Amino acid sequence: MSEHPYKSMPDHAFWSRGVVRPAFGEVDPVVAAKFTITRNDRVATAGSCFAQHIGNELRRAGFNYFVTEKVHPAFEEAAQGFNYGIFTARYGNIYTARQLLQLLLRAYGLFAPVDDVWQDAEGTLRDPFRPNIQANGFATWAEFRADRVQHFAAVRDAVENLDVLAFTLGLTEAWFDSADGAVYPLCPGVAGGVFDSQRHRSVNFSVGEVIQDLTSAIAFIRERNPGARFIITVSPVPLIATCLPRSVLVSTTYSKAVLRVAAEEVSNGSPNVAYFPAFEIITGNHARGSYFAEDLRSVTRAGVDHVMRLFFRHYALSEANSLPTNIAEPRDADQADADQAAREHVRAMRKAAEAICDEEALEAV
Amino acid sequence: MPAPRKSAPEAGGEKNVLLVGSSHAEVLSRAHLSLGRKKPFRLKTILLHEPRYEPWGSWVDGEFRVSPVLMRDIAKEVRSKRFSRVVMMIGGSTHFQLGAVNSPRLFDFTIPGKEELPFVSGAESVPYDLVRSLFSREEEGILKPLLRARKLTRAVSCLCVPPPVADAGKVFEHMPDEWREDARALGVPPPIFRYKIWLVYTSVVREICRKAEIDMIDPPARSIDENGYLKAQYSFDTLHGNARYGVAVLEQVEARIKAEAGAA
Repeated sequence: MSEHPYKSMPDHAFWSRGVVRPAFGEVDPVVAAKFTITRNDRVATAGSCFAQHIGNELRRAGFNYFVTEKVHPAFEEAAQGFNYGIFTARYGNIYTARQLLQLLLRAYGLFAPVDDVWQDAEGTLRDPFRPNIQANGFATWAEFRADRVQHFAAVRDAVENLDVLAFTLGLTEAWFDSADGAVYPLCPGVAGGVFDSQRHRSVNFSVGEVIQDLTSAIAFIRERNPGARFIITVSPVPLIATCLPRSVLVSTTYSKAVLRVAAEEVSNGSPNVAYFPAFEIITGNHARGSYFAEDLRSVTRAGVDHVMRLFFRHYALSEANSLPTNIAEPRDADQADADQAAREHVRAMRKAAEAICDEEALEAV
Repeated sequence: MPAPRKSAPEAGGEKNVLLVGSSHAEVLSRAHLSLGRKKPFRLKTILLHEPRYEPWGSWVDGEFRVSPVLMRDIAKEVRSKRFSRVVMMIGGSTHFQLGAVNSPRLFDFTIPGKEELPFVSGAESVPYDLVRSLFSREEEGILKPLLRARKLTRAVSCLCVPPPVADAGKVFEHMPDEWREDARALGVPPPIFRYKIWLVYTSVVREICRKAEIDMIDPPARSIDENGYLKAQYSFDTLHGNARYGVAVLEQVEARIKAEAGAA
């Protein structure tokens, strides 16, 4: 028998040894990380809903999940549903690479979409580019404008200060405004706005377009933050619906294939752009579909655990893992101090106010 | 076990009022006593800070739990049918916690329909719905005794707590000692901020009352100045009205009872 390249290949290169033989929870398609993350690295997240898991798990594991748009400490207990901390800034789900690129341009004043705000008959204001960020929309024009300013500042803060951006590509299908090409996360009319068939058009991005948008977004961030590193993932979550005249299953396959190729193309050859195979971990044959819940879309806890286990195994710097979790860069320490001061202020006020209300010293009344 | 304090009304009396509350209710109770023979009605008061109810309410695992002894006493009194009206003035400090001393992270918000009210310069914008959400969470717990009484009788009124005073000096003068250091370092918010906080707070209480079909009685008009603040001559400290304020509220309660009797 002659020698050939496969003879020296490791187990992970073989289907039988890499996929069939290991217990399915041990299948590891990551193999090697391009770079590692320390507990001090500011890791920002953005992308489709699957990306939400990454932020949660980073925080839980004691990593420096970078959040630049935080709820005011006085309102932490009441903030559920206001989407603080779900991602690094309060941008909501970013499904397409074009949406990411346009968010960056908007945050730096380089793109101002014509369709900038939606107001319904009751006067409720919604941000077309994050229509579900507050369940009831924005209460006043002043609030809408002020929140937009704060939001863009938080995006710029993230761009300029993140060490790693974990971005999850979600969709290729999108709706846009034919007036200027502004891409919406959701079709107008679904969670606000009014659908106008003359104005609102659908698009199914090609692999070339996704590569171009993602490359441009990365270049945009690097211009402002040369040390930024990127971890690109593809969401394993299927499309909830397709706007094309075909099966959603066919559209899902196209979409994921395009995103997977785009991620490969963009990460290939770049030492600071890595592809992390969350898509393969969840959808691979080894899992036999068990990482999807009853709706065949949602990823189960076990699936998320598998993804994050491999993420930490490969991307978390082992020496750093032993560091105490309270070590932070000066900037983060200052921010943490300010938040803590505000939190302690709230606690002190509450404690004393309880005393006031229960006191019986109203003798002078 | 000692019975709830204060003068016991005669059974079957048409002008007997049951008052339930904390420090604000104590203001009313003392105002009632001060009227001597001119009392418009008999008043029985259940004070939440009586030792038998300690603690009258507390948060446990995210749920506000009310002392079962207190709930039982309220139910017993309401079921006795000796009272033509039950009035409650519960809580009323949540807004004060947010508005008496500047936060290290200055914040402000705008109120729909009152956008003309000034915004604290340089403050972080907080969503109006988030401010409401905080108050809703708290008040839906704190107002449980009120909601319990409403299940037993329609004749329930919620007395709105007084608006803030405009004078920041008075706020500083009367604030708890524990707050003074922060107040010196961070400052007392401008009156308009405290007023806005009070507006949102009362709108949340009003909404809870509306849903439960509970009558809400606003602060007496004569106690409020042209800008909506509590007049100095009606204030005790920065949170409570004084005896004069209490008397004005009792007059409102009397008017409510008369109006109801007239309608019947």
